[in-house]
Amino acid sequence: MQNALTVENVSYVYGEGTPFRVLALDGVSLNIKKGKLTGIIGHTGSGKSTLLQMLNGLVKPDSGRILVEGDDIYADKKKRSKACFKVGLVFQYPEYQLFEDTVKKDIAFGPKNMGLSPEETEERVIQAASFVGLDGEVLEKSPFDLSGGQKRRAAIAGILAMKPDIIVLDEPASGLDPIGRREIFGGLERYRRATGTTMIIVSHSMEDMARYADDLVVFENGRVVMQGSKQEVFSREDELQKIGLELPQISRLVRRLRKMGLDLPSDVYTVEDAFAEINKLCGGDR
Amino acid sequence: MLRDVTLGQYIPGNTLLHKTDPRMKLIISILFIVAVFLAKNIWAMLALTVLSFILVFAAGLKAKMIVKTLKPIIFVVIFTSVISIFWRTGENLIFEFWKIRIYLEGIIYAILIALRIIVLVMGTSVLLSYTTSPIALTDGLEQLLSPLKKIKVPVHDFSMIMTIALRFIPTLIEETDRIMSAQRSRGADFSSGSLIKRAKALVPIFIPLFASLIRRADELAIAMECRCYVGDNGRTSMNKLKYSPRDFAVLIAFVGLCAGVVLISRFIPGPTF
Repeated sequence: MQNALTVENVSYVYGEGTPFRVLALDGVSLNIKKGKLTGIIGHTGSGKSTLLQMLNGLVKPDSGRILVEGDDIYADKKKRSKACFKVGLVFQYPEYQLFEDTVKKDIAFGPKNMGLSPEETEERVIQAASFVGLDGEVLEKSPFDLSGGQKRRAAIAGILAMKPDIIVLDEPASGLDPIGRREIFGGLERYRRATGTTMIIVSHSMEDMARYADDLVVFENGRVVMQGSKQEVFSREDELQKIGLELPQISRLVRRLRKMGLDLPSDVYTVEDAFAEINKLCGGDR
Repeated sequence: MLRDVTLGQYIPGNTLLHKTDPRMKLIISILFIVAVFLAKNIWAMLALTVLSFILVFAAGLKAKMIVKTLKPIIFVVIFTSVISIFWRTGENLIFEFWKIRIYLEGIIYAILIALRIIVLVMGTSVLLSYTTSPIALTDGLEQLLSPLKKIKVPVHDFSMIMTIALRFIPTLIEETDRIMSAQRSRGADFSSGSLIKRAKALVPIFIPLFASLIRRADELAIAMECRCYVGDNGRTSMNKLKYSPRDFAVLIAFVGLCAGVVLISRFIPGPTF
């Protein structure tokens, strides 16, 4: 499997030389597989957000390299300024970056900065908006008149329209209700299936990670403590618990049931799967 | 980026100057400023220079801090001194070229002016910004000015405005930083192109920034109302300021020093302004 992105031994310090010195990243190395959705989990302040800003050229690591498709993005100035077109970064609460007078224009901001023709821009905007479920008259509205969830989706569409090779999202669903969450993740899922884009998502929700991620990376205090497929990482329940992370509730329930002697598989991460398995166990009469 | 801007100059510490009541420090600062302007000759000025150095070290500040304090005013100091050289005429002509004449008096005047600015900035910044936290300063200012409430000056409101403004400076910087990064991620370019192009590039920063400021102001107003904030009426303070004997000792010492400076300036002959 080819790597879309490689992080090599990256370190970063905030406030060097002051009493407030913090080692945000400490020798982080990562491989992100092409076409997969990689989830990054870890507590607030574990260095995730700093790393994300390095992936698209915003923050230069103090040491180490970031390779996108084998190419060091900090090798020279030009590469660094083009990195944001290769790696699209959606910040946490991206709705606060909307500024144009219509949603359509706002989504077009990125493609326009890439120097695309008006026709191509238009086409990409419509396409990106439809992936996140925005179309018709919503596109002509002011972004400030949308609902919270719609604003969030419009902001994400702004990055999708740039068609980056890799899309990085910081807590894309935080602060939204369950329907809003599903709409965001559903839209991202649809986009990924249609385009095969590599995605990296930071989230605090183990449930969401269990449902959508292929691979997982676990951060603690600026270090990567685990990385691998979702199954591998979730199988190390005790270690996860030690750093204060819990498996999804449904997985914990299934594991309890297994301990009680029920014949259930150990890698159940979603309510739907659990339902199917338990149903099978009961003879499949429902 | 923006995060590197130093905010508020307060340097925590545990010295006598840190512990002095902020109101007293305000009074002392006024005394100090008066003394600086009453110091008419070079000896008084030198005495004040020594005094301000003593203040710097009494506040436990490093010599590096003096350089840092004076850096932003260096241009003002040089500019005013150079102008002053030509301003003064006197008896001891030392240089003449065409219409330009420089007198010894002019040079002394320039030195005095330079010292005056340096001492003024150093003294007040040690007394107020370096050793007093912004909150203590606004508290002190409010209580010091509270007699003005009798003549309907909204002292409390002003100090609340100041407190909130100070509180939101770091938030604002953080927010600007975030929005800039987000727009940069969408390929926005803030640092190249013509002046007009650069000015236009700021629109994607300012609109979200103002939107978020208004939202924050709204949230803060609601939060304050939820905690029954109704302005000054019957409001008490958590950190009640109280003068201690130490504060008066500091005041008396300072009055003495300033009086000394004025006496020097009056009775010891020396080159004057």
